[in-house]
Amino acid sequence: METEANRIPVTIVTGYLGSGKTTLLNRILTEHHGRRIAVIENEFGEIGIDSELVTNADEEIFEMNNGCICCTVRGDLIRIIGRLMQRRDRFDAILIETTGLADPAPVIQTFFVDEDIRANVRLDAVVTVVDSHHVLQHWDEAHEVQEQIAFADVILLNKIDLVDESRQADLTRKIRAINASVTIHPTVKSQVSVDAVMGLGAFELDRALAIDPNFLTEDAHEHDETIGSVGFEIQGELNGGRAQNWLSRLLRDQGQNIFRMKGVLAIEGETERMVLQGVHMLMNAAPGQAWRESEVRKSKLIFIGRQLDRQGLEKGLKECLA
Amino acid sequence: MSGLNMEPKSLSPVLTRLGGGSWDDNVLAASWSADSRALALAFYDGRVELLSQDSNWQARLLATHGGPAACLAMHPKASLVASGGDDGFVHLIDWSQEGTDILLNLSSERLQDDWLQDLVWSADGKHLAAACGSRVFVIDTEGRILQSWSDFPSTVHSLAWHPGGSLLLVASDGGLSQLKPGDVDVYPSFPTDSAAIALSISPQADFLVSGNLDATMNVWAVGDEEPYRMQGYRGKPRNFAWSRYPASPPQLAVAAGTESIILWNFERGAPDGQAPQQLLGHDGAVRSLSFLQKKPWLLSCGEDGRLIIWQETRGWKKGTIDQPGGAFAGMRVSPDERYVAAWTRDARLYLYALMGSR
Repeated sequence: METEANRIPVTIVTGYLGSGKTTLLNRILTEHHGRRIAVIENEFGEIGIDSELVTNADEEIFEMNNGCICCTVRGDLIRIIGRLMQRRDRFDAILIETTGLADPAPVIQTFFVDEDIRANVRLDAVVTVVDSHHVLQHWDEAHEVQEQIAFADVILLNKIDLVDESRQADLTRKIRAINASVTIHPTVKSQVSVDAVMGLGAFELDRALAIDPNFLTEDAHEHDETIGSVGFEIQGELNGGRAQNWLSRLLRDQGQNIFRMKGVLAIEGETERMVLQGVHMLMNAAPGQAWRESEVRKSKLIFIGRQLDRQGLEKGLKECLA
Repeated sequence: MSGLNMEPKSLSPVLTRLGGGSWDDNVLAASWSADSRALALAFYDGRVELLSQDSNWQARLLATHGGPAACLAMHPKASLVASGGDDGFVHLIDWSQEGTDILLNLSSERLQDDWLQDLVWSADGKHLAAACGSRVFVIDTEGRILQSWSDFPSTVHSLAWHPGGSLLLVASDGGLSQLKPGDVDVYPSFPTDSAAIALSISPQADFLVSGNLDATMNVWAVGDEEPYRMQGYRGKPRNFAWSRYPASPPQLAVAAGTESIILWNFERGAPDGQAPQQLLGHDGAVRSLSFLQKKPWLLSCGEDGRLIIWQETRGWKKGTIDQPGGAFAGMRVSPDERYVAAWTRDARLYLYALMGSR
C-alpha cells in the first residue's frame, strides 16, 4: 500500500441537476493552482470539461454482501481508477463529478471498502453544489437533494446572486439542520478558491477532531426534518468494550439510516483520543492526539442521517460511560 | 522507432535477459503469436504495436485507438491480432500484411457500453469473443458480428472459452454465466455473492473458478451446483494459473494483489478443507503468474520489480530472480516457452529467454 502522502486525493463533486457542478469543475481545471487533475465524469453535460484526462463513467452499483445497501460500491469507479493508476505519474488529484441524481453513498463506500482503491487513492472530501434559486423546488420531492447535502463536507451555496438575503439565510438554516458540521461557501457561478474544495483531508481521522461543539447543541437541528444531524458532547471517560459494542450494534441495526458519523472518544485507560469516521455501516477508527494531563476528558460524536433518534443515541452513549 | 535494445545478460543457466526498451506510455496488454515469433503490445495512449523476431524486436505500429488500448488477443493459428480499446472499437489486424485492418465499432449510444474489457479467441480460432461494457459479442475472423448478448447486470469483466469451443463463460456482477453461440439465452449458472471480476477454466475443463470483488474465490467442480468458496484473501483474486507440466499434480496458483502466491492442490478434486500452500518471495503485489508445460516451473512477477522462477523439486523452491528495476505490471510467456515478455509500470518492457534459448 502506498503511504498516505503518496495516495492520490479524490474529491467527489455532487449536486442536483443544474446546480453548477460542471461550472465548478471547469473553474478548478482552468485556475492556475499547479495541481494536475484527472476528471471522472458521470454524464455528458451541456458544458464540456476542459481537461486532457477526462474519463466517462456510468453508475454501476455492485452489491458486496447480499444486497445490503451499506455494502454497495461503484464498480465503474473501481475500473476507472484502476486504469488511471496506470499513469499515476501524470496527475496529482482526481475529481469525480457524479450525476445530479446519484446516491453519494456507494461512491463514498467504494473508498472505504475496496482494497485496490484504498491502496492507491484516498477520499479527500465530498463537495456538494446547491442551486440557491431552485433547490427548494426539489427539496421535498427529490430525496437526492437532502442526501447530497447530508454527505457533504463542503457546500457551495451557488447562484446566490439570484436570491435575496433572507432566502439565503433560510437555506443556510435548512442545510445546517441536515448537516450541522458542513462548511458552507456562498458562491456565484461556482466561483470559489480551489483550496476551499480540494486538499481538505475531510475523511482523515484527525479531521474528526475538528467537530465544532457549537454544532452539537439541541438547537442545531430541527426535529421535523427527515434527514438531519444530531451531535453529543459528554464529559468523562467511556468504557472501551461497552463503546465498541454499542457502536457495532448501532451501525449494524441503524447503519442504513446513518449517512455519516464522526467522533472523538475518551476511552478509559487510553492516553490518546479514539477518532472515528463512518459511512453507513462502515467505520474507520484509530488512536488520535494524546490527551494532555490537565485536560478534561470528553467525547464528541456527530451523526448525520435519516430519522435519527436523538434520545436513543444519547442514552446509548451515556450507558457507555465508565 | 521504439523497440528493444538487445543486450543479452545471462542471469542463470535457465534465464537470460535478452534486452529491454522504453516507450512513451505504459503497456496495458500483451499477446504472443502462435509461433512465438511476434509479440503484440497495447498501450495506454491507444497505440497497438508489434515486436517481432524478424525485425530484431523493433516495434511496428499496427493501429491506434481513440483511448487506452485495453486488451489484445493474438489468433491461435493465423497472423491476426485483435485489439480492443476504451473507444469501443475492435481492430482486427493481419500483421503479416501492411495496412490490413478491419475496424468494428462495438460502442452503443449508451455511455456505459463504450469500452472493450476483454477479447478471447476460441481454441480453433473461428470465433473471437469480445466484452464491451455490459455486452458480449462473438465475431468471426472477417470481422462479422455473429451474435451479441446484452443482458448482463454489469460490466463483463472477463471471458473464457470452454476448451471445446462450444461454450463461452462470462464473469459479471452476480457470478459466471454461460453463453452458447447460436442460442440467445444467457444461463446464469454459477452465482456469486458479489461481482465476479475474473474467471478461469482448468485445463481438463473439470473446474471453473471465479475471482470476486469481495476478495473471495469460488470453485465449481463440473456437475456440482454448490461452489467451494475460498476466502481470507487480502485482495481480489484476479490472476489465476493452472499447472500444466504433465508429471505435476493439478494445481491452481492465485495472485490476489498481495505479495504471496496461493497454491491450491486439486489432486484429489476440489481442495475442500485443505490449507493452501503459500509461496513467499515477492515484497510487492504479485501481478502475473504462469506455469510452464515443459518444465515444472511457475513464473511470477510483481510490483517489487522481481521476476521469479519457482521450481518444483519436492516442493516449490525459489529459483532464478531478476530485478531489472521498475514495478512489473504484467508478463506473458510465449507459446513455445522460449520467451518471457514482462512490462513495468514505468513504460518499460523486458524480454527474457528461458532454458538458455536465444
